[in-house]
Amino acid sequence: MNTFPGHAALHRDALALAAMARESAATGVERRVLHLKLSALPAHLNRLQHQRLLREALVPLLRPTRARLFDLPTGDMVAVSPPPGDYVELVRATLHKLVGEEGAGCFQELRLPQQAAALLSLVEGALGLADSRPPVPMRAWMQAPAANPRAGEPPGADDILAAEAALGRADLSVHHRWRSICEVVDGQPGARLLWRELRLAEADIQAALLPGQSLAQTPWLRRRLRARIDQRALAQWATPQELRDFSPRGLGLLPASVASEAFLRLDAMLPPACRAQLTLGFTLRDILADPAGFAVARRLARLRGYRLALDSLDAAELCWLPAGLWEFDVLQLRFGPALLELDAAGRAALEAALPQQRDRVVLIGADEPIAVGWGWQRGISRFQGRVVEAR
Amino acid sequence: MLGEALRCCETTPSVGIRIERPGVPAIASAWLEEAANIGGGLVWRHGADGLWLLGGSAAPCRRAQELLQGMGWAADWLEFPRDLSRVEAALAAEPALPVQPASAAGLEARAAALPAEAGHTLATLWRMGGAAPRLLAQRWMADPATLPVPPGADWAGHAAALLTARLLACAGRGQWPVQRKSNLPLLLDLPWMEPPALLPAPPAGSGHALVLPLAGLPEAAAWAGLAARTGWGLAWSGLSPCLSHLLGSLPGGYVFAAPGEATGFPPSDRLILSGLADRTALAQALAAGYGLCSPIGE
Repeated sequence: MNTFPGHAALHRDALALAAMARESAATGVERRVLHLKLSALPAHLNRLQHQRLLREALVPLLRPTRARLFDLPTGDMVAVSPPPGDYVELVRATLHKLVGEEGAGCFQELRLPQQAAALLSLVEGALGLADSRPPVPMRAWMQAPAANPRAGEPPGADDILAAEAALGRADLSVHHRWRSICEVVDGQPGARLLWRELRLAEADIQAALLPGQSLAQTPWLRRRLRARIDQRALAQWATPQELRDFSPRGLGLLPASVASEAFLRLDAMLPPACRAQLTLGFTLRDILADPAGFAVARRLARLRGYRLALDSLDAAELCWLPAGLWEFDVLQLRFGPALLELDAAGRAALEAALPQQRDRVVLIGADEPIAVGWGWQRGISRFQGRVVEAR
Repeated sequence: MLGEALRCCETTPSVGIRIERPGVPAIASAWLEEAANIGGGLVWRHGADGLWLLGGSAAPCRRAQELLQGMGWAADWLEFPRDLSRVEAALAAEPALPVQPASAAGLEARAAALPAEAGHTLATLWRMGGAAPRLLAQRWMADPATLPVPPGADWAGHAAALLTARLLACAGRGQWPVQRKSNLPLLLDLPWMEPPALLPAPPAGSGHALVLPLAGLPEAAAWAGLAARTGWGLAWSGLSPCLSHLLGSLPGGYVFAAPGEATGFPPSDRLILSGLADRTALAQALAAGYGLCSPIGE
């Protein structure tokens, strides 16, 4: 029986392996990868009989688990095993015995999703697509940079591409910021938790990716990076572990992120009851920058049963809102000194702009008791901030 | 792959979906892919004739069609082998292979290497007044064709910002476009950016304005102050039907929108449909009093 695949099959395998690496990076599903660099074996160890023996040595890994073997056009083989990958060590030891010290360096173990980029570049090399230019320098995620030679300069497209590459391997959990939305009723002690909002510390992520560089003067690049951050975060959230203990929550996203494949994957995992408890928040700034994307996101959210929130609205922005507030379920108004300094006309305009059903309004940034008092005066009983967290 | 899918459509009763393109975002494609993953079939991207799912199973295809129609995107239902002739007709009209998408790497260096006279273009604003068109103004803006970028608004926006920086440098030196008519106001298109410390003064004459994207609306007061200090008025670009309520409240004059979205706006003499307009857009512009903006020479 011919156990060696043909040319077309080799290309198919390489593409399938690339797809698996991308999927693992997107979903966070763990896998162990064993790369047999047969192309790097000395010629006297890389004859047909050696290749047969090496293939047979992989059997313990392939048979009892759902591991898959991929043959690359270079002659290399890549075995991908789901966790825990108990047999990887056993197989590695067998391979080592077969080739001895001379070929010991030809076996490499990778872990997905952390090393998906390395696996993808391996596949690109096997397909002859490797870039002849020197690779864009990448830093390990959160590794403190010694010095960014471009610090102080506005970031350019190359900086963003490098940041995106680093982001592909990042675990953003450390940048998750949860904030509680609570009901605090005048005259009643305590606060009742309604739902929790999840936000990403965008400034911290940017500082980790582009140390010493500011995106303030390049808003399109900032948005590009933000979209990638959204997608990375959505991929991390779309896992069974994350969804097992699902509770009512809100996510702040770019409108375009709702139409991304990463969101679709999350959407497919959520049962209708969970979708109805998920609030998607957009800022007015992001809506103005991408009205077409917002129109799609709004239709999709309605179609799939999500709640919509207008996020972090400043008092000065109220005048730009339409009468029906785009049928948002929740309006998150940011508390600030400007609200206290409103004159009579300003207060009247605010009153006219706020929805009549005050349970649709959340006063966020309520860090001082005065914010709660101000909200109560206007019939607002839903708050987020240090004051309600303390209760 | 396509041949195999067609053979399957020919020999096995199956279904499919066709979506019109362009204008359908990636999520539509993802829904078709999902239906193909569940029930089999192939998603075929045809350059001009839409996105097809060939040889799928009824239930997942029906779900994908419902989702697509829920979003307001027309999705044709296909029954195979009956509708095979439609696929074959599209195959016969298959366009040439698409060109390799541009890379974003080295974008700033590419912009800097452009000749001084490249990277910007001039368009004319006009309105039908009686039998003849009446010229309103000229609009000076970045020409995206001179700096190819990968698909997506973000790269296109950044490229436009790089080109506009060159355009502003020209304006700062008093170098106005060669085809500019001195009797018409000049509208200078700016990208999404923070209000700068300094702006070049407009040329001689009156009615000149800075065209700001709506993304800059939260900084409208700062822009209005800066523009007034340097002698410019304000105009706005990027209006969409879901923002049509802003038409009456935006500070300044003209507001630009794409011709394809003209049906979503109330009649207004501030609104200018910008880009190549078809007969329908022309008729709408005439009926609702909208102006039009076309590149010079088109």
